[in-house]
Amino acid sequence: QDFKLKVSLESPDGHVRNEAFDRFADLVSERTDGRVAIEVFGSASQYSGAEVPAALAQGSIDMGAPLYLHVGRFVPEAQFADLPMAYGADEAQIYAAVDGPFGAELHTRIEDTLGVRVLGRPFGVGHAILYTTDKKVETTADIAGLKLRVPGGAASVERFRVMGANPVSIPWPDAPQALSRGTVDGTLSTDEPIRSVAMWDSGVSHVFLDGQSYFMYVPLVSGAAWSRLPEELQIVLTDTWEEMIADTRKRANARWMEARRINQENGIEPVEASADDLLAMREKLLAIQPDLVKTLGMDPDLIDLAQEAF
Amino acid sequence: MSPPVLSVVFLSLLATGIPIFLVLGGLSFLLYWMDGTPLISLAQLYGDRLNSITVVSIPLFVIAAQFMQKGGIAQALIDWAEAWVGRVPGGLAVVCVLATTVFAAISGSSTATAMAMGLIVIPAMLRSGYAPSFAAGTVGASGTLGILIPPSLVFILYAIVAEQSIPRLFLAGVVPGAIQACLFILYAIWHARRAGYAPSPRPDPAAFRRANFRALPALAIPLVVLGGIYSGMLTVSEAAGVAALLSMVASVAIYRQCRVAEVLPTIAEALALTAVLFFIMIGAISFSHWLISSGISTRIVEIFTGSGLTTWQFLLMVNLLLILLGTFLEVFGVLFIAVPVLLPIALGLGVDPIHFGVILVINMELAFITPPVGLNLFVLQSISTIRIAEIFRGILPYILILAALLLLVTYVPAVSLWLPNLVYGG
Amino acid sequence: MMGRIARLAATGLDLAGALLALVAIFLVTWEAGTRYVAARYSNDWGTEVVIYLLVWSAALVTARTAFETRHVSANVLIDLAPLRIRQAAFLVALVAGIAFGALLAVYGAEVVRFAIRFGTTGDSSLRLPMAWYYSVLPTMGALLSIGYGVRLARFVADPAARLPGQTPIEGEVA
Ligand code: NA
Ligand code: NA
Repeated sequence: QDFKLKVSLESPDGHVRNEAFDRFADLVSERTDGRVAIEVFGSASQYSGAEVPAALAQGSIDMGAPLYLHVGRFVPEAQFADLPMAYGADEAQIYAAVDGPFGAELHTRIEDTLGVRVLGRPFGVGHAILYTTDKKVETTADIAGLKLRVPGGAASVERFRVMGANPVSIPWPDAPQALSRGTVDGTLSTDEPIRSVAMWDSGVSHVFLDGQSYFMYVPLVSGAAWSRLPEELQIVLTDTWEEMIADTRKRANARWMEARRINQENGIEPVEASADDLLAMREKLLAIQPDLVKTLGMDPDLIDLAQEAF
Repeated sequence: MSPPVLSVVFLSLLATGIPIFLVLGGLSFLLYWMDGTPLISLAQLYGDRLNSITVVSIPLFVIAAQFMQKGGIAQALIDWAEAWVGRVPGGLAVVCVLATTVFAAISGSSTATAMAMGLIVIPAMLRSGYAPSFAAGTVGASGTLGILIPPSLVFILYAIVAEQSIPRLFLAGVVPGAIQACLFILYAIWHARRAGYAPSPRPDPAAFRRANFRALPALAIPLVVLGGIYSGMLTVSEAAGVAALLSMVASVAIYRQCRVAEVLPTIAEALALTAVLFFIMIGAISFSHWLISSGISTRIVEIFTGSGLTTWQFLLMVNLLLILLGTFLEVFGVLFIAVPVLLPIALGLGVDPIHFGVILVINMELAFITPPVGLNLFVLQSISTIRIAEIFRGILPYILILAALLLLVTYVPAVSLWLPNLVYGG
Repeated sequence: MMGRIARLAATGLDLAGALLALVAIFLVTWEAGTRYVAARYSNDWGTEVVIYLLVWSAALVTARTAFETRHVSANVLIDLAPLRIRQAAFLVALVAGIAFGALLAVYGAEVVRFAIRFGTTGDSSLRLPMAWYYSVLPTMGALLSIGYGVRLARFVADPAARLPGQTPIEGEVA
């Protein structure tokens, strides 16, 4: 082996992101005759998700796949899926945005800003949706008056304010307790974390499928590690990722559908939002988008480009 | 650096008396530099790991402990306990254990508990003719309840290193803590009977009422803090903040043992203690970060899990190792050095991380009272004129009781896990 | 004269740190209370501000912890050694402390520059610049170096003065 790349992931072994990188490591090793060894470090044993972009920019780690949300600290436009325009959008629309001209420009900016290499297209972890305890949400109007845990991010906070809810920031480890004791009525989350900590034990019994946001992992290689690789190996890496991406996205989707099914088996009832309701709420939310774009320090032109997908 | 070389360098540096945080942090800088990792990442790591709501519950609990140590709260609790149980044989010793148990439900620290209680109980016991060794031993050993009965700084630090739920860990300490208090009380009664110590005089009804009334604010603090956590009204850090505020108000306005002018200096003193902890923490975090990314910790885990060691053999070995480390090293050094290496092995062998945390804390209780480096012993020395040999003679029976409790907790997981599983589900 | 300035500075830092912590105590209690009493006053930035205040408050007292050699160490073995060796070991520890503080100051400053370059902000709606928070790192490093430096000066001036280790209770909390 000539080149070793360490991948730092927050998720544990067996998580869809870790499995994607395990498969990627095997394929790359095979295609480079073992010249490139990719080693996966899971469970945030090295860095938590939010720390990964800085660690990549500083060259402390070779590879990572942070959420766009976390890249957003450096390149605000990476948080586009948190903006009102993406409220209620389906997965296909989101992928259309990141696979199109907006995604290309976003990735160029990420590369220029952080001095990293975007290995290829991102894959999703599912929609951030509203999981609630005994307060059943059937329409967006029911959200008003709820105390909701938000994982952070000014966009989510402002969105909930417009909806009339009280956003509260509570760290994830305290969330089960806060939910079971009624400190908050619900939490914004994707399906998998709800399953992995058995949130039904903490009294969560409803989920409103409105699609508040959509979370994605974007594969990044540090500039130092990337420039060490000869061009032919760089090409193998990018080609392998691109070849895998459709399958990776499919597996990721299957995984969170599975998580939602398990959540449902444990008594968490899903409620589909009606298309009209979502559309009306999106219209209402769009009123604050220009202000939000400004506060978040986003480039309005780039956001306009993204908006074409929605 | 190969693991054997690193171990030798590490231990030699520790032996020269260089502060533990400097050994850990300095070695981290050296190792990162040798690996060619940009050193900015170390500073970045320090900044990011301190940027945590769990971490900042530490200064809040330390501030609370600092105000409680001012005396008023401890005195009120002792008077209260004496009014109720002073009549049993060995009354003052039983009073001491009982009052310390309640105090431990406010204080998260072993030394602060021993200090606050010792300042009042030891002179009282000596006046009533108790042997200095028994008086010091009872106070020093009971003080360790401070870290077993919630809230507990050691549980919080373990939760940070092991990424476990603090409320769950806190609950896991309740039953073992109650058992420890009961065993200590039984021993105190037995010893007092044998030594022929007289019970305290019966309080007159007015004094009885007064003692209860004066204890109300002190008794209310653990109710608010722990009740707040377990009713879900307060997060752990909020509870820590409320504990700090209430103990400050109680010692300034109610018990008047702290003047207003002393408030800021008292907080500053707590902050100095916090800074000491923060530095050990970041040193240890960067060191274990290197251990993990170098692959050494994975190899250690593989050696143990592949060695055919059974869980009970492993846990016995852990206890022996921790007792040995705890004899010579200070508690936080042990915690930060041992946990990152031992916990993954424990998890690999199927040990519940909450259970492991309680085993660790009881070991740390022992570390506080075993010479030569036992901080509760130093506290007793600093607040009384009792010689260290006498303190040790008095504390030895309690060490044996605590060792028995350790075995019970180690091999009957239900003792620690029953309550948290009952409340939060298994 | 130097001694008086050092004492004044230490007291000033103590009071500043304690004030920040006091504000944090009130803020965290206020947060907990208002969530029930008046949810409309609750915010998403309290946690962030409390963290910044408390980390900063502990950082400000760093110099004193170094000067008073309150950082815990394993003194069992070295205490058995002859005085000359103990003095040498103490000298090494002080120099190591100064060096570590300097490294923390230099690389902490790099972290601050990094945060400024990207204009990174906290996650809450206050969007506080991360550089404000990260400045705690070079501050801590510099104060640590200064604290150990002053202690070194005192040790060089009077090597016969009491060495640390004989009072292991210093620097203990739990
Ligand atoms: Na306690
Ligand atoms: Na000890």
